Amino acid sequence: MNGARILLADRRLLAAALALAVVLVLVLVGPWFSPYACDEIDFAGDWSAPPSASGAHWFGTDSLGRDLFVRTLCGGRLSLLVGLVSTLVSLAVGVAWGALAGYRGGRLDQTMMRVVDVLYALPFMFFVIVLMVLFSRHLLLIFIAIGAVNWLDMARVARGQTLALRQREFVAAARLSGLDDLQIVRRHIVPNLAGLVVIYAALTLPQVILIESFLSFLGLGVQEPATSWGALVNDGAREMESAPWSLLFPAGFLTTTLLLLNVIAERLRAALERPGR
Amino acid sequence: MLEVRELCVADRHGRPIVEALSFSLPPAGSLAIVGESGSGKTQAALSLLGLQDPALRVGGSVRFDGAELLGAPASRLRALRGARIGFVFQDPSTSLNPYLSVGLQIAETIEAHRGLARAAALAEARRLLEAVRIGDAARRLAQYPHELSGGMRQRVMIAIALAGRPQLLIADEPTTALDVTVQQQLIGLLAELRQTFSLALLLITHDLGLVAELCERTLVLYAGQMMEEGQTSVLLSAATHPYTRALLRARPHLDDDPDQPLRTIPGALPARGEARRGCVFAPRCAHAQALCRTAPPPITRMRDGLRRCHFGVEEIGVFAAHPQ
Amino acid sequence: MIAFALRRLLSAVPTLFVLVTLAFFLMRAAPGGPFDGERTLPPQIEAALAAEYHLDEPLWRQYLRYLGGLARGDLGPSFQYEGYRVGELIAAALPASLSLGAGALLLALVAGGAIGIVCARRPDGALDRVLGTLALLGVSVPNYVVAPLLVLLFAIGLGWLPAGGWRPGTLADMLLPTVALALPQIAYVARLLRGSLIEALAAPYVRTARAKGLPERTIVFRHALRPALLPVISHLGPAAAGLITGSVVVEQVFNIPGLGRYFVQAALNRDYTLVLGVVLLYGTLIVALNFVVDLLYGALDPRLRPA
Repeated sequence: MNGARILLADRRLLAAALALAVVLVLVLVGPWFSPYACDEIDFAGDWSAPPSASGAHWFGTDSLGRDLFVRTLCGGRLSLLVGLVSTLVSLAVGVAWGALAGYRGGRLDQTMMRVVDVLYALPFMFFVIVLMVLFSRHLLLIFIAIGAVNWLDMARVARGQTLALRQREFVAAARLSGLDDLQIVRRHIVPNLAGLVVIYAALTLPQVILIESFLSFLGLGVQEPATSWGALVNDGAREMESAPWSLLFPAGFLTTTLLLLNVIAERLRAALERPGR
Repeated sequence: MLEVRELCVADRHGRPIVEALSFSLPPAGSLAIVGESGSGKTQAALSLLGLQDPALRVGGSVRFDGAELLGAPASRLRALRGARIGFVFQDPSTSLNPYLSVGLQIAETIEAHRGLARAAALAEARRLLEAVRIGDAARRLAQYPHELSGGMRQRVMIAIALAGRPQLLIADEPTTALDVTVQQQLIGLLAELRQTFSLALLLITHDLGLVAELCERTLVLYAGQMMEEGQTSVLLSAATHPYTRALLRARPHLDDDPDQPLRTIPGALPARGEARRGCVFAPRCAHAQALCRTAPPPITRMRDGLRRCHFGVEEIGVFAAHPQ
Repeated sequence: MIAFALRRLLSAVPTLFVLVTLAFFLMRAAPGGPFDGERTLPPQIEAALAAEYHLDEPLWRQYLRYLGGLARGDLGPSFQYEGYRVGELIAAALPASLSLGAGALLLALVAGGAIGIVCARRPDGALDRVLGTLALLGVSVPNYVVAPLLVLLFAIGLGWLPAGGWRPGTLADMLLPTVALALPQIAYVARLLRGSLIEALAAPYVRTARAKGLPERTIVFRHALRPALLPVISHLGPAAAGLITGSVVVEQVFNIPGLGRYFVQAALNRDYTLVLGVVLLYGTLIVALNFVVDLLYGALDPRLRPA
């Protein structure tokens, strides 16, 4: 397997991937082993209780008396879920748009890429904010809104690559064998964009998580009692004078995850861009 | 003036690029280092003044006017570069800075080494442009490299090399990137400038024709090793080393039968780091014997020069170059 | 040159037009209106309000009316702040945001640039490794994490700087928010410049500069830095967008009366004209910066100058 080889050849990539796997397992499995549910209030304990390794709450509790350990992990579930789904949305839209424009070329290409250029120049985060405020803050809308602003890079890159692929023999062969354009794009162009898509997925994922947590920080993202890392950072920032742990734990998880994803993206890009690949 | 002893250049992994290269150049003398691309000739020239890729390792001794240059502090190298030794690089379209005006690129060398202020340096730069036969020099000073033709750019490169009033010019394939007619003009210019400024010339090239016109002595390099060194006239008219002969034979000539394919030297340069037991040229040599593949050939001193081969001249015979 | 600049400016018009149109209709497509409050208004009052703000007209007429206002430089009345024009509100909030944003941009370029140069001078040296790791951390830590952490450390913990507030011209007030806003961009610029400078230092013309015996300072700053700056300049547009986005949270954390905070509040209140005005302003800012980028490109690279 090509991927496994790349992974094993690069110690830093491997280390980052393993560390990310630990975070993932913790976030996915951790809450099951906690005595508390994600939004359960511990009426027996204190509000904003400090963390203690031996006590009931490892990370302490938040201002409503909820266990911060389980909340941080639950918030991670949501942040990662939003990240994953929105990344897929933006990749799907971007690859389809770019591959079609690059493959068809000519007027259609010009028009499609001009659209991308214009959209690039817009302050997109504000559209997301407007969307989130005006339409109800539904989880599905977060996916769509974030995915919709993040496909531009992917579209540009996919188009460039498609332009190069279009010149290759196997595409000509496919055309001669009578496939129509859409079939060629689907069966021959898109699969050949795979390496590139992997890199961009790795680059997009931290961006998307960042956007979601940004919205949640502003109170425009996920709504209580559900939570995400951004929402937890926001809560923590309000309490930080009296309970700094409520800021530090979620911020630590968020930052670590983003850092690991950035390292992975960077190493993957280095590996795939190395000559002879 | 320039004394190179046992110069070795190796890559990061210790694989040799240039092996034990020795030569010397008297004041106003001229030497060509000839070899195929990949023979290590450019790396040899760059390493003389510490201009090689920093990842490379350089050993041996390089003396200029008696002072050792290898391992010399950066400040001493800087004082020599551009001032006493000028460089002309291969491709003027990449070797000139596209972001700076021609005038500034010449003047900055003058400022650095001759202590002139900008205005005086620019006036001097104009004189240099005239010296390399660029017309309308005053206007050219303000132009950028992309506004000049290839030949004109290389003249600017030469003007830069001359700006510090050097005693030695090192020219790495100075005409390779140019049109044939422009090449001839530049060869003429170089020969003329050598006379005017009594410059020593170290010419790095693969073009034996250029060698014949510009250099008194020639060193033939193959896979990082000196194959033969001697007077250019002797070397070109009566080559005795199998590699030099093969090079001469591979040159196209006007009286060649156009229907015949070009003569080439069969095979290719050994890959860097490939195990070398015998003579490095043995795999491609027409005269190779069993001995050539097992033992490295000795360097023998000839009447006028050096030669690295197991077999003597009398055993191989003399190859007279095509009548020109 | 002037013709080039004019042509470039004209090409920005369609972009801004799309921006206004998109924002206008998006907002109107949303359910709810500016006067839906906790309490329902009597129908006559609601009708009177609607008539006053022309909300009773068909949407296309409102749109044309808005465009007409724009042509006269009028951003319309605010729905939320009675008696105020959007232009006045923006003018009041702009100085704080602008000085914050400009300060952060300057800091990002200067600090990021310095770090990038230091790292590129000795790639993979000890200093490069340390700063490189910090820069990677820097691009991974979002503004809204940096901002509270800075407050926690320097305001609450050490008590050196105020935790918030904005007195115009007070350096102590500006320091933390500017750093918080700039930090991810510092890291980004540093990484960008390091990469491009390493590449530029390996260029053949830099070897020529070395062969001339020029001092190292001249080689780096005159010969290598110019081409290495081009990608950094291209990043100015995205950087501005990033700073604008960041300013929303930074202004909130530090309690700064700027545009970013205004914007979120206006969107929550469905103050259509105020939201539109802010979006338009930011769009214009980004378009203007992209124009500056084009000009800088021409200034740096003689090959791109119009003949």
